[in-house]
Amino acid sequence: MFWCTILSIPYRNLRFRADELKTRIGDIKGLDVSVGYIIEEWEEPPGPTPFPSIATLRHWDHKLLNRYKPLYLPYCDLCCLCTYGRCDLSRGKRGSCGINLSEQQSRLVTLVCAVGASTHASHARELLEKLKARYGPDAPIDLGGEVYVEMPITRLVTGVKPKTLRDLEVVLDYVEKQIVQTLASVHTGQEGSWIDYESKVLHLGMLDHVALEIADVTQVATLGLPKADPDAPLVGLGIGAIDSSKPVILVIGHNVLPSAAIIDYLEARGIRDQVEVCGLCCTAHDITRYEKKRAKIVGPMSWQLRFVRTGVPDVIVIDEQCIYTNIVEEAQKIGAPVIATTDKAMRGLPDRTYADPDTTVEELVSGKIPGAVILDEERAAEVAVKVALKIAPMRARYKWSLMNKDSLVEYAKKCTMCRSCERNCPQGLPISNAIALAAKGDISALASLYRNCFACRRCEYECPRGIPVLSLILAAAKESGIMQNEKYACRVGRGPIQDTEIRSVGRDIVLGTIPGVVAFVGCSNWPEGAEDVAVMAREFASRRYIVMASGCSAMAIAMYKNEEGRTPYEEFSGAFEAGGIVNVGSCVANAHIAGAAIKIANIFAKLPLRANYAEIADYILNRVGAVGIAWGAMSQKAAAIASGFWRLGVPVIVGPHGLKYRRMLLGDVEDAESWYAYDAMSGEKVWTGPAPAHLFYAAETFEEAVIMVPKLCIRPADTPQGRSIKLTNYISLYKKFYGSDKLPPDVHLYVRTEADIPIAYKDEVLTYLKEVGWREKPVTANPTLLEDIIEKYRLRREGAKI
Amino acid sequence: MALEYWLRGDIPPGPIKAIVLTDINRVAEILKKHSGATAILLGPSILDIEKLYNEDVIGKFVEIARILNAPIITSVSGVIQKLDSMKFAEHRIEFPLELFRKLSRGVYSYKLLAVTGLRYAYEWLLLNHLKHYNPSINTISLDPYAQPNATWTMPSLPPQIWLKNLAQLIEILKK
Repeated sequence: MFWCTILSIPYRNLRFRADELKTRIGDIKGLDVSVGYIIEEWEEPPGPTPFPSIATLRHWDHKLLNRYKPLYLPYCDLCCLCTYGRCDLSRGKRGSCGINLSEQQSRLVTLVCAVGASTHASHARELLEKLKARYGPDAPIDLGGEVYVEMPITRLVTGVKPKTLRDLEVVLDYVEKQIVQTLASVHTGQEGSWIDYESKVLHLGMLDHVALEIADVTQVATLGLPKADPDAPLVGLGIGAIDSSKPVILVIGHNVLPSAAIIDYLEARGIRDQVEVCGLCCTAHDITRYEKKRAKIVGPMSWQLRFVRTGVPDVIVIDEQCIYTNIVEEAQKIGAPVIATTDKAMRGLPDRTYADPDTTVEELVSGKIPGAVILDEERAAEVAVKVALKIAPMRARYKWSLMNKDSLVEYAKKCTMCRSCERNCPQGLPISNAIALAAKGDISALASLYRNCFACRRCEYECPRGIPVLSLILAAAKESGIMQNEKYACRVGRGPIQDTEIRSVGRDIVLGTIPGVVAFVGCSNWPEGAEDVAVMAREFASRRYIVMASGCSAMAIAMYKNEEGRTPYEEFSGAFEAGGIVNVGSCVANAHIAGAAIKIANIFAKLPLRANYAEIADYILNRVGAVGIAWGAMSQKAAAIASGFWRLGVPVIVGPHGLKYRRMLLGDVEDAESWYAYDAMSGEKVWTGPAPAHLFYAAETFEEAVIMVPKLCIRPADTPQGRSIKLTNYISLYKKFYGSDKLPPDVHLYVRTEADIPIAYKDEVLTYLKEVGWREKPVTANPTLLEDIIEKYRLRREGAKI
Repeated sequence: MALEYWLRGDIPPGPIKAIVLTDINRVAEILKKHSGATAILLGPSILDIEKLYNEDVIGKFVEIARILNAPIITSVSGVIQKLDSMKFAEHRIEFPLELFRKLSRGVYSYKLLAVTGLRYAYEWLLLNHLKHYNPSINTISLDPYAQPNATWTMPSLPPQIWLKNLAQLIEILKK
């Protein structure tokens, strides 16, 4: 008698388990053999999908994609990826290779997400290899006393329970190989179905989340970053917060290692107080997580040119991702050398990795070279500090050297009102009018553009009169005191969520009595400036949602003060609780947002975590009212992060620029059939309503996004009390923006029984329900899209450990 | 009608581009032809134009809507407040993306969608979706900037000229 189950074949390794094996030498029970990496056993039995390949979770993806169908928004009607083309794909035509417009759009989304996922995987690889070399492969993964489920995404996806950095190797190997495999599908003549391309997008998103988790956990575990600390300290944020009287080292990017080395170098020499170290984009988050006191955040990625053009930075150290491609050219204008620290972004600079540091310092200070590549953090740190100390006195004339009002007005007078700047502005800013007013001496309109401009400089490149439009906007902002007053307090990224916090709120989230978890993530391509993000965060925290934040959006939340002069981080707690605003940290810390949703299913609902992806994602989709807002999403990384959330059943809202990702995932409210699910206990098919209504949605306006949040937090498993609370928020926000006499026209779809109706709006809603011929609908506490969950529930009721 | 030589922003290289209507009479003809089967979509930029040029642009579109017996669809709170204050009852609050999904899937029976005031790229992409996935619905951009993915578009014009054209359009429609 031989019962054998092959549990996993993660690319080249093999594992098999024999429950019962009778051989000539005797009977063997519970045999479990792995060839290759030996998976650490833990109390949970192995799950069904360890190390999933592209096809493993396809059935789950198709469930999602048949409900949330893509709405394609082609940027271009053609395909020009191969030399067959370019091919016209308009209105149903196919290209030479056979591809049609939908398949081409889904292929491009796959490509975008592959770029994003590989960027995070590469970031994770660099951190893992360098920190493993520094702290040893046996460095433990310890995320603090209150985090027992350390890496929920890794456990869920791969079935590996990592205990040391060494354990992460096999996980990252898996991620890298799957990214390559999926990227290959983009090649001409490979995949040819939109739904399978979209499934690959979801696969890449899931891989991206594993990479994020590896990256952040590696740095948290080894570099002393906060470990699930709800009381992480507050640090200074904003251009006005930077002390320009000291030599200033500006770090830009996402990889904290060079910045951390700068802090270490300064500390080791006892000169930390003599140098200002500040950061832009996610490196800024991580340097403050590393130092937790003196390092400062200048702002999100779109603050790069704003800050560089002030002339304040003496040395610019770049690592990876989201750095202005011609940062060297901009730095040269203010006489600041650039030090590039990764081979992914060398910017044409000479390599001085192995040169004598003092010689390199001389080359940089004298201006002999505009910058240098130094691919060793310690050497880069030494050079950066020495250059900053030497060059700062020589650069005094550059500090705050933006033009004065007189020069500004003179430039404005050159304008011919051709409006070339305006029609090329991605934000559609009324630049011409502002310049016309400035020419008459009124710079207020120009200064007001500072709020919405993200410094892309397209206006400058297009101006036929050579007016440095961005510099004019910055100068107006400086003259008006706006820049100098940018002084805020940002909570340092805390990293993961404590298991105890999940236990405290898990029940209320699943029942709906905490109306939702809203995560503000992503880049700074905000349509109307940073403040909108802060206002949204404040609105939802005040309504007792749990607000989470990461990356540039976490910075935006700090850039707003209430009437008492306090930022949202000072106003609300940093705990994962109703009414808390939780900054988890940089982009890679997004893993802790996904991880929190997973932990709710695992810790609160006690669902098996180990390699049990589809069941957990199904649980989150149907029961965990979470939604992400990437209001300024710009990058390929943001696309990959979003797709990881989609596969996990978490909807994502982007701002209007997010429509340029070319595809939305929208539910079809009119198609009643698509909103049926199963009751996992009875096996009956039940209508659950459009909850959540969409999986990926680009809102055009602030109010649209704010109204969409409570709607997308509605879940089929809400209790009547929970549903009533969620509808209270939905209706009240709708009324707030559109008028007290108005009701959301789809409210009847979310009322299952009269008990769901918010008391405050009972009469009004009942009248409306009567008008639209509403009928009572069933309520299920155990909705599922997956048929096999019904059988699992039955077996579990009978005591099976699956 | 004056025509500036440029279009706004990036124009994607594509084989199907909007017909640019340089004669306001032709705009009126198209609107009249679809009278009773037209919806007018107003986006947030219309408020910016009103503010910048101190003109009652929304009022002009209400006049057009009344003549054509067309509903105004919008999700912009400022526009809704104004429509309410003007007691224009034929308006519907609907988010643009959800509207276009419904148009694409044939939920509505409009033959013509007239669009104004959405953010440029946002509108451009939404129109491109309809152009490919439900070309039976005609679209016309009444924006001050040309929209290459509409069926018909007004040209890119200085706002003052665009405002004059709107006034002229109303006069022609009234006849």
